Amino acid sequence: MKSQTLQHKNAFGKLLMSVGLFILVGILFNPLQAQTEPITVKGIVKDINGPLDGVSIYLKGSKAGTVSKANGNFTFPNQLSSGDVLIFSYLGYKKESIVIDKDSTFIELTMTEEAIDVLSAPNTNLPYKSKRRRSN
Amino acid sequence: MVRRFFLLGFLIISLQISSAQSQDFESIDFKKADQLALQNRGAKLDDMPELVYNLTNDLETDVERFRAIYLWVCTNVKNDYGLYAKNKRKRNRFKDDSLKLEAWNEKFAKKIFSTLLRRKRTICTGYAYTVKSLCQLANIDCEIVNGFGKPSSGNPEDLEEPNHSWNAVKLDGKWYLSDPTWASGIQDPETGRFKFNYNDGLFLVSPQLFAINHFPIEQRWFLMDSIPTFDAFVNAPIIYNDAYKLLSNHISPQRLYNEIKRDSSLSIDYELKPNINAENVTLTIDDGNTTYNRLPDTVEQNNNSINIKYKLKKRGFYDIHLRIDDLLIATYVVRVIP
Repeated sequence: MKSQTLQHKNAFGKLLMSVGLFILVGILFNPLQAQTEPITVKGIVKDINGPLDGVSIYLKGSKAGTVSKANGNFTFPNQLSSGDVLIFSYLGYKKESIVIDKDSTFIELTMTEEAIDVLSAPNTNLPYKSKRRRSN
Repeated sequence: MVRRFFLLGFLIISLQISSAQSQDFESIDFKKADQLALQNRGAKLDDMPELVYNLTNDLETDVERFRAIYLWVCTNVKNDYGLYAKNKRKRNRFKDDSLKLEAWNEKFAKKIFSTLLRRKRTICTGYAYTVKSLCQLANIDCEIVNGFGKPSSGNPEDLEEPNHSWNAVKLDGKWYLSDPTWASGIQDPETGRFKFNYNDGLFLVSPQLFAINHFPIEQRWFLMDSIPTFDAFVNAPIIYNDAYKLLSNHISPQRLYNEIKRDSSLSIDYELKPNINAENVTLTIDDGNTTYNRLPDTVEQNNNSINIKYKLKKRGFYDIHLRIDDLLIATYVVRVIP
């Protein structure tokens, strides 16, 4: 009876060992683990007429960022991880955001201009003058 | 212990209810947001993400973040009268030719953005656009609202085309209106010079007062259940920017041009903002020949409601400008008949 219990214990220990090993291997070779490797992001920002100079590119939720050069090229100064979001912002153009994955080493982005109706009515503090006064 | 939790929960809930009732954000101190707007004075618009980060990163709530952005725009972007005059001329010329108007608009939009970026000068749409762009970067839901603005100079009946843009912003799930162009300062139409003179009254304005001189193209941006007709808007009294500092609603008279019988009174009703005590009400009356100052016959304030009466004893045609504490509030035109 006693030896039977011991055998049971041994079997249980082996099972525990193999499960542990399996989990360890799973952690070490996890494909998700591979995705969190740092990614260096480069790219070019354009509009329909060609490269855009001075586009602000920054990592969402942080102060890390850069600005595109005259030829539209940029290299993001920080290493990024999969799932990070880069925001592209340029006055007069629609804001764009790009989610980084392991294939985002080179981003080619064409930004579109913001369609706005340009309207203007400056206010003054001049007292109103009625128009019908003279005819009355 | 359980009772303590219960009490704490009750306290939190009642605090939330009371802040919702107290004009929504009255409990919030904007000192920190205003300080950040001031600290970033002179910053450029070529790196908007950095500007937004510097303006908003230390702030806790969306309303404070919006405040810092809005105040920065109002105190750093100039109104460009040259651009305004040019745009008005062209839009007027092309008003019956939609293709030419569209081509002009496209060309002018480019000019607007380059002037805004290089010189931080713009016109209404540029103000509303800058506020919207900076808000987007701070994850605040903000829209440009296009429509009709009724300035004090000129003839309201000449309003044919949309001429003004302002902002709607969503804070804690509710939309609010603000007008950064008119809040930034006053333009002298003769010299074309712009002077920064921030008017806090146009920040998160009461929709009822705003509708006296703002008529959005899309009705939903009135943010009111009862929407005025365009005719009522055109014929509404003239209210001035300073009115936004003191009033929360303009109730009567509802028209700029009024006719009353001799020896009757012009009766004016407003809702004042909380904690305003309108002690010094004066009238400047222009009868076509001379201009003189008068005190009203009666001024009755009951909590936030105020009624002002002035009896007109002679036939004639009068422009009556009303001031409270030396701030120009409104103008009414009155024809007095026998």
